[in-house]
Amino acid sequence: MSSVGIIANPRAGKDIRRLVAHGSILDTQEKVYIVRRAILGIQGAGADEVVLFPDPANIFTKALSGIENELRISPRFLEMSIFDEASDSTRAAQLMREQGVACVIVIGGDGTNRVVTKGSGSMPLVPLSTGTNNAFPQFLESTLAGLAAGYYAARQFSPETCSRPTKRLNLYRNGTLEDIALVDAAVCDYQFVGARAVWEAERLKELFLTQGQPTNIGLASIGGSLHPIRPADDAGLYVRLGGNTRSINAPIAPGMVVSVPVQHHGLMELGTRLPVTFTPSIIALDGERELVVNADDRWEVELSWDGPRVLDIEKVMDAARPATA
Amino acid sequence: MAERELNFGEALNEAMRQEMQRDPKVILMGEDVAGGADIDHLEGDEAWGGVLGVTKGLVQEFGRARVIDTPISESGFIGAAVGAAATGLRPIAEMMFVGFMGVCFDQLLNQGAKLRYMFGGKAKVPLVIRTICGGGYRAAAQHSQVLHSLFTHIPGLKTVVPSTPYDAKGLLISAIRDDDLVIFFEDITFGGIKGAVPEEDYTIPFGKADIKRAGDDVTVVAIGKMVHHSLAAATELEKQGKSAEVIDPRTLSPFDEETVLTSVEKTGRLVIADESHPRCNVATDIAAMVADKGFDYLNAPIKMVTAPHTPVPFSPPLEDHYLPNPQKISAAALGLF
Amino acid sequence: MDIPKDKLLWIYERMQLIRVFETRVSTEFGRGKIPGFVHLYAGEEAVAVGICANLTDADYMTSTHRGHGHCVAKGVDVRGMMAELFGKATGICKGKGGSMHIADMDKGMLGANGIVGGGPPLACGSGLTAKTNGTDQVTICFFGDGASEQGTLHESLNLAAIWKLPIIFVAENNGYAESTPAHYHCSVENIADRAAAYNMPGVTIDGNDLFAVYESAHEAVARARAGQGPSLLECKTYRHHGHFEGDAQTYKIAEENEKYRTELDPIKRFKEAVRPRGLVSEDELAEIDERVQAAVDAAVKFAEDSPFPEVQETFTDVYVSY
Repeated sequence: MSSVGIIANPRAGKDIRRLVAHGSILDTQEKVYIVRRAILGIQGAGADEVVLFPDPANIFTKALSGIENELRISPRFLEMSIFDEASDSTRAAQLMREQGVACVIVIGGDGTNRVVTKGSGSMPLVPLSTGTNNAFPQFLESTLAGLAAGYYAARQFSPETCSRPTKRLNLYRNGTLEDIALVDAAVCDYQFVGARAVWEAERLKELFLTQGQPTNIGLASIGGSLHPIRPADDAGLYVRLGGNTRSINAPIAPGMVVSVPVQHHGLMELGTRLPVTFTPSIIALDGERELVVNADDRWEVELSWDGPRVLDIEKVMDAARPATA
Repeated sequence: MAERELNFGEALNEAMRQEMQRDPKVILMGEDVAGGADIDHLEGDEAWGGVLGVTKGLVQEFGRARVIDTPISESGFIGAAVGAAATGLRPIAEMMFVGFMGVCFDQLLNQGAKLRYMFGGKAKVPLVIRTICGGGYRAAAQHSQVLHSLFTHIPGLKTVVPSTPYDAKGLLISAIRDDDLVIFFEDITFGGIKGAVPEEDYTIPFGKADIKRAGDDVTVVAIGKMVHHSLAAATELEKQGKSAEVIDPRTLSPFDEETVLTSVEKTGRLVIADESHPRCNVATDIAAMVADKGFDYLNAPIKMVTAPHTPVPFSPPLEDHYLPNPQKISAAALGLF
Repeated sequence: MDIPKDKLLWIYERMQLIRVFETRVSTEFGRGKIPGFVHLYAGEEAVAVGICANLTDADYMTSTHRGHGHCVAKGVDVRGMMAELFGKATGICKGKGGSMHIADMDKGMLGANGIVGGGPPLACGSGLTAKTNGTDQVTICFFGDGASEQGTLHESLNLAAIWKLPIIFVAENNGYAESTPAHYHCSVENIADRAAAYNMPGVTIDGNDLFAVYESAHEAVARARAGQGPSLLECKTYRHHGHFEGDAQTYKIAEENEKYRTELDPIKRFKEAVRPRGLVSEDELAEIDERVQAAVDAAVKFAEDSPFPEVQETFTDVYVSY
């Protein structure tokens, strides 16, 4: 039985950046279409089963109800309770891994992949970009993502050759691992988690990055403009922001190219814990304010290669191509 | 010097122009009231200015910020007019045909008419809704109704039905200056009616009927288009030796009971001509009032001339049969002797 | 987004005042002191207060049948409100409006509304007034998930967009239109998704998170004041009470109800957010609790002690034709 999972975040593409930046409203119906095409891609690759996340917005039910007549693959919903919160996606990924799902297509942004990663373990991800600021997932037509995921599952390709490892940031509070990020951890001068997104450059105090490429949007773009770090590089980047000596131009949100003052930046080495120096503060993980840092807590950030494995679409498609005579 | 004559639409246009000049809070809104919003090639007075051209030229003088074309969203823009009135503007909203009121009825019935009362008098809704009414244009059931009776029934609304250009101008100016929501009915067949209209602005008080023709033998109370039919009937009755007094209430809410009662006291006979359907209309209402307060004056039963209890038919012979006319009115009056 | 301390205290006081007011209304209704229908706002406090914390008295608001919370957040006097609910002459509307029509023009509060979807066109009107007069007043148009299926809302979203009116449409999605769940009556998961169809920004917010609501409203209000037009904020929330008092609420899911009354309660979450940062002290919160309780007690006493209106009052504030 070859299975591919799909998890879609019903909340992606709806936050305050529609107001403060120029983010598109990614309506649920669009996600329904994306999921439909992914399912048909998986089916086209010959996989036996597609395992679906019973999301509170009924994205998957709606997706299936539009393709009844062409559906040959067996769809199966995970049996789980839904609380309409981020941990739903974590538990869904965990269940999929436990049930032997080969890989999971993740429809959402950096933040969605972050919560999925907490449960996906060694199961590779196929991250599709739909969120607003994304560095981790890629823009890829979902039919193709489905096809690649389906080939990987149906033909039992090796994870070592067809997927690649990723980095992550480990956040320690008073010495205990508290949370992770896949792309960025931003220490911000906010009182509250509030509307979650970060779009005001003057609020940024410290930034930890697993990657930062000139083609990134969001906070990773700051790295891209300072000292590019690629996903495959054995390093991360630390940036201390503020001051008035130097600034760079960076697209930190859709339609928002702003001047970001930079005091200092340096490479993060693997395995070294760097302290969070600006407290009290709020730490945003992968673009969303998440952690409340109190003045008397000691927070540290560490770079490691413990991120999820990500399916290498080109390698899968290469492997799937029939050998020529 | 001969008095200046205007047609019905020109009199209304002049009333709105003068009020908009006088008070910057007066705005005009409705479907095509300016016409051609966002169309750059329009020049001069090429824009519609309302479906019958009644508001033509106002956008050139007052600009599109005060003469506002609305989408075909009757609930939306009538409600917006109510909200604007409650917050300090004095809008004139044009509801193209009174039949379309069905689309926005909540905003009239439950919002505009009731805010002042529900809020303990702390809000007012100085809004005029102008609307085309009446049959005779072969416009069929949805575009030919009168419906003034429906609105007269509702507390919080005032209803005005002018019959001449002079009355139209004076009553519209009064309506614009009134602090309540006024529904102002303009009969679709009045386009050709001309009459003397003073150039200066003037008001006609609400609740003051006008005796359009004095007479001694029978009182004919007539609403809107029925005023003209009743005057024609009176000419016919004169030939039969009966002198009819034709009263135009001009406003249905408020209603001038005194003028009607005084006339009935003199004539002893009452005919009421109303283009409404026959039940629960302004004619039945006036009849009830006279039966209550003027019973002793009556020498004959009260007669009503109305349209039948059917929708307005389209085919010309059917519509002609449907509508009250001078013959029906004079026949009703003669039946009282 | 930082919120100054005096504003934080104001926010807490208003949320608590809504909660205590509504809880007391429920009690007084049960005692037969309040005639008619009441629809209570408890559980949704973060929405009204998070939005109104960004307004002045000059700004306008249209409301719904569940309007007490909007009134309190806009600063309407609770004595006048309670007396109105009791049908007394001292009521804010002289006892002529009642729960579903509480209004206070001096506070820009253009009325609770007994008609679902009645408010949005009116909001376009106050928006048009502000635009015509060239002021920076904004209008908040509160509506529920039920009203999101009314044509009036769609007409109003379109009008506000084409006229670029300074309106913030606030969808209070509490999951149920009377007893019918939003996942049945609404064709989309998020009401704010529909904003795209009307060419305006749409944001879906956790409506039980005061800070998320406040921050989003702050931006939407600034946008409207700057002449950049309307926006649509959808606040996902939950009502602690039924659709009306007396509703047995059999349609609710027990676990969901419990979770919203405890873990997701907006007032509890507010306290949890301000306490660890030391932004507000326990004593300050306790002092507010006392003041709020006293204000509601005084409001009930005022309402009870006030006379009913004279019957002649029936005939005022309207042109009486007959």
